Formats: sequence, C-alpha cells, structure tokens
Amino acid sequence: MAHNKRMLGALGFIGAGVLALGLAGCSGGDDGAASGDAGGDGDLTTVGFVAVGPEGGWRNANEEAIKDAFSEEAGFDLKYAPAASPTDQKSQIDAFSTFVNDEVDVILLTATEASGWEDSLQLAQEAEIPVILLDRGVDADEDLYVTRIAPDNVKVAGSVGDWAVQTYPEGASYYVLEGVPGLSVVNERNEGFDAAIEGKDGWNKIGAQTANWTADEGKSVIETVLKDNPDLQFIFAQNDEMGIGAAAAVTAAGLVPGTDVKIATIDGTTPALEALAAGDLSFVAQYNPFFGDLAVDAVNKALAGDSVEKTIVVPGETFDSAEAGQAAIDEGKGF
Amino acid sequence: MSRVKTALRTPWFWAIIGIAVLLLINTIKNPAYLAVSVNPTTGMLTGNVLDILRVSAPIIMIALGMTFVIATKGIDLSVGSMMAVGGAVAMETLSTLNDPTSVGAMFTAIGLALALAIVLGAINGLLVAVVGLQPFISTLIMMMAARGIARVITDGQNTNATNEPFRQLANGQILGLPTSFVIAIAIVVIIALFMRRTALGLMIESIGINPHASRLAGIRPRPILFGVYILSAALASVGGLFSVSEVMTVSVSGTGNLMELDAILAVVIGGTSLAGGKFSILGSTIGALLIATLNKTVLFLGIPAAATPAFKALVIIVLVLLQSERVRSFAFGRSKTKGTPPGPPKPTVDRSAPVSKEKEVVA
Repeated sequence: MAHNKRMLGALGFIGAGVLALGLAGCSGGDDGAASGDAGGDGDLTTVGFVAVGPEGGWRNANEEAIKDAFSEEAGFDLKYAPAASPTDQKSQIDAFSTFVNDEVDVILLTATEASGWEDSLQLAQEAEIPVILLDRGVDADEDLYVTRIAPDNVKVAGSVGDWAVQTYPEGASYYVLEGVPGLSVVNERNEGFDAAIEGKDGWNKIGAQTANWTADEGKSVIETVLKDNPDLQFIFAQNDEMGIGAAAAVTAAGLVPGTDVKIATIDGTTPALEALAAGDLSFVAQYNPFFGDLAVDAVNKALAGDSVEKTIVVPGETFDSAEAGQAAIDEGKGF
Repeated sequence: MSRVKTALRTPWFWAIIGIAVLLLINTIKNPAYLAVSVNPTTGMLTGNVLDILRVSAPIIMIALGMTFVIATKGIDLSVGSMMAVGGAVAMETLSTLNDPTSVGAMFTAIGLALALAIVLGAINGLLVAVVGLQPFISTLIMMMAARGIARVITDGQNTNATNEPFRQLANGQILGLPTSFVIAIAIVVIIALFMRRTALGLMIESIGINPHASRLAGIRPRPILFGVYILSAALASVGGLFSVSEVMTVSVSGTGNLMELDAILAVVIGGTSLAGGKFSILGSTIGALLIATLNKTVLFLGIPAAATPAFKALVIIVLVLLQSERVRSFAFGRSKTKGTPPGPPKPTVDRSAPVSKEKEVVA
C-alpha cells in the first residue's frame, strides 16, 4: 500500500512536470490567448482555433496573423489549440469537441487531414457553432461549415505551371516533390500544375515522391533522382523547404541550380526569397498567409447571420527573378 | 557446413542478404547503380552507395543507443525527439553566434547540444532507475516533452544557420567516405570496445535478464540504467546533428519524426531481443544500414509515395520471417532437430542462440 502511494506521488510529480513543460511550450506564441480576461466579461467573442501548430514558416506566419487579427482590442478571445504534431488528427478532433462542449462562439479549423471531419462538424452544427475553415479544406458536405478561406492552391500551382511553360517552350523533364500524402493541398497543387502543362509538348515527368515538407528529405530524394536521371531540368517543389533541400542536392551533384536545373517552389518564406535572390531557386509563388482580416470579416458576418461565400480566395504574388526576390525581402513580403 | 548453419542462425546475416537483394534490384533497374565516380565539379566522390552510407549515419547513432536500452529490457521512445532537440540547439547556437567559418562555433554548438541531451537523458534515467516507472511511459513522456523543448528553443520556427565546418559533417568526405558515416562508425567501434573489453556489456545484459539476481551478484543496476539512457540521448543528439547538417536547417516537427521506430526496427533486425538480456552492436549497425538502403531504394525505384509504407512493411516482414528459424524450417522442409521441444512461438528474433555467439560477433 505504502509503495502504491509513493508511486502515485511520483506519477503526480511527473504529471505536473509534463504540464509545466507543455505550458512552457505554448508560451512561445499565444500570450494573447492566455492573458487574463479575469473579469469574465461577456463582451468578447470567444473563438476556438483548432490549429496545426509549428510546421514551417508559412504555418507560423499564418497562425500569427490569425492571432494578431483576433485580438482583444478587436473584441475577441482567441483560444489557440495546436495539434500535438502536424500530422496528429486525433488531437485536433479532441480539441474540436472540447470547443464544442465549451460552447465557444465560433470555431476556426485548419485540418491536418482532409478526411474524417464529418462527425465533428455535425456536432458543431447541432450546437449551432459556425465553423470556418482556414487554409485547408475538408472532405465534408459544404453545409457543415460556413466558408473556407484560403489562397487557392490550384491557382498558385497553376502560376508555377504557366511560368514553367514559358521558361521551357520546348518542354522539359521534371520531377515533383510532394508534401505529406493525402492532404488536399498536395492534390490541389498537383492539379493546378498538371492543368497548366497539360497538352504542352515535350513535358516528361520523371516521377514524384513525398519529402514530407522537409528540407533534408527533399535533398535525399533529389540526390537519388539525379543519380538515375542526370538530365533532369526542372523541379517543382510543393513547398519552399523541400525546394531549398533540392537546391542543396543539385549543388552537391556538381550542377548549378538555375542553370542546369531550375527549381520552382510555392509559399514564399523569407529563406526561399533569399534563395531566390541568391539564384538557388528560380521561381517562388507566394501562398499568401496574411489573411487574418478576411477571417475576422467572415466571422463577423457569420455571427451577424449574413450570407458568406463558400470559398474566399486570398490573392497572392509570384516572384521570378533574383531581383524580384530581393525586392520582396526589402518590402517585407517574406515570413 | 556448420559455418553456413551458424550464419543462417545469425539474425543480421539475413539483414546483409536483405541489403544485397535491395542493391541487386536497384542494379537491375540501372546497371550503373553501384558505380562510384569523382564529380568533376566538386571533386568529391559520388555514388548511390555513398549516399546510403551518409543517410545511415543518424540511424546508426540512434540504433546504437537503443541497443543498450533494449538490452536492459527497456525501450527509449524519445530518441526521435532528442534528435530534434540536438538539431535545434545546434542551429539556434550557430545562428546566434553567426560566424559562418568558425570551427569554434561548431564545437560550441555540438557541446551545447550534447549537454542538453545528457540532461534530458538523465531525466529518463531518473524516472526509470530511481522512480521505477516503466521505461515505455517515462520515455513516452520525454518524447513529447523533448519535442516541446525543441520548439521552445527555436521559438517554434524552422531555424537555419550558416557554418561551413558544421555543414561538412554531412556534406564533407574523409578518404572518400561521408564524414558523418566515418564519425558514426568511429563512435560505434569505441563503444563496442568499451562494452566488450570491459564487463560493462555483460552487466547490461545481466540486468536485462534478471535485475534482482544481478543485484544479488553485486551489480548495482541504478548507475548502469542511468548510463544507458544518458548514452542513448547523447547518441540521438549526435544523430540529430548529422541530420540537420545536411541542409543546415532544423524542422522542429520534421527532424527525427518517427525515427524511434526506425531505431527499434534496426535493433530488432540486428538480433537484439526486445525481451532484453543480450545485444549485438554489429547487428544494430547492419540493421541501420538496411533501413537506410530500404529508404533509398524506395526513392530509386520511384515507388509512388502512397505505396511507400506498404512496400517498406513488406520488405521488413519478409526479412523478419526469414530470421525466424521456425518459418525457415517450415518453408524449406527441413526436419526439426530431434529432442528440441516445440517452444512457445518465437517473435522476430532467434533467442535460442547462445549468448557466447554474441562475443564472436563483436570481437
């Protein structure tokens, strides 16, 4: 018995330690959400944000933009719930149902995966909590959510395809570095790019492989591809980090990025714009993360009962030269 | 004949066969697969085999640490997160020092990364050896906590840095071999000598077989348990350093993600029993090489991303089945040795092999 008690004590001690660590982990970003609205004033609109958490530069910029827009000054109390890891859907579903149970006013959702959300969305609908999808879509009936606010992946990837067709009028052999399989963003970026080069002569797809959005896997994939296909001309990386990894692999193979192999990426993070300015990347299409204002707008309309369009497209830019990259950095368009 | 038999019963023998078959398949796809040449532009040797050796270095490191933890009947689920911590500390240090050519900055980064990993490993050791928690739970906690710590260190950002000496860890070569692989093998040899030329390895195994009995025999389990968890964390941190030096950027959620499973797989393929009580350093190293070869084969064959996990699982299952004596004798129709009672179903690893075999392996 005494032994059991001691074990319980130890468990409690460890539990407390983990909690403390977890809190420390959160404190990096969401000081806005935690700072005390001790009065319990009912004026603030409570917004539950089921987020992805640290995944890359884009995600951070986007979630920061959302947090900044839903400030207390603007009349919101934002509860930020990042996933345990960027691929952990279960923790997101848990956070979602917690928000439903807590009867928040609005739920913002950036889903880690497209499928498996119907039940959760239904719960929210029964509780009459409007759900607004940010960035990523879900495979569910349109009636289950108010709107999806996102830059259009198909359009952004299409702009990469258009640029590629212009740059290689006679076609090229190319390789695609994909993100985590199964995400809607991966399918849409493929769709947009494929549509742009469809029917054009001379385009020879060497292959496609996931590099899980990370630079070191992007490097590993491309170095192996280059061994078998030294005549590779063009790499379409579905995010900046994989593109930067690809550039490292091209350099390590003794080729010159931009001359021997051109690399186009999507996102427009600061490191990618720097790489563009340095000539490592040839084309960066911005996937605009700064749409906090659009989200606030949609939330206000949804709460007022106004009609909101089912998809709200966030406009973005493209940068196609070292000079354009430098200019974008100077203007603070990176993130 | 008996040599062949011994080889067939050595688990890592089948891992070597697996590596050979994978390389053969790649060579069939492209006959120049195994060729190694000098790159005229960079002046360095290049080849698919060298790539495999390079990407195997982090796996070798985490598998080595995992080997000793598993030999004590424990498990360390935190090695993947520990890689992220090591990488995060190094990148953050290098980007703060901002000295692109300084060797001193490199050593500062490595030292800090190791120091933090040792502290976190000591917490694992404390939970397991002193508090008496299950290793699975203790290291599961650390797996989550360490990932959080990596995020705190880098402020949640994927941090990059410039430091040429550090970049050379993964991108440089020593006598034509990738630097990270040479360092990894050197660490393996040093630790193997230390484990097998002193009684330490034997003590670790005895704790895995029966902690109570080994205590009665005069072995104090606590310091040894502490030691294996600290060693595992430190080696994982080194693996993280190799991993981030590839592109000089740490991805707080991507670096080392799910690598603990690769490490456990490498250890099991190498013939270290999950039930504890014996370990094979050589086996784990070969297991790590197999996993690296498998990862690169998937890329080289151009297997669709969606089918990759299934393909890997298939290869591993075939390999594990081949390692099982029972399946082998069934498949090849050999009669069982007379007088051997049909023991309980053996999982993946042949445990009937005598422990003394292990010594030949390492020596």
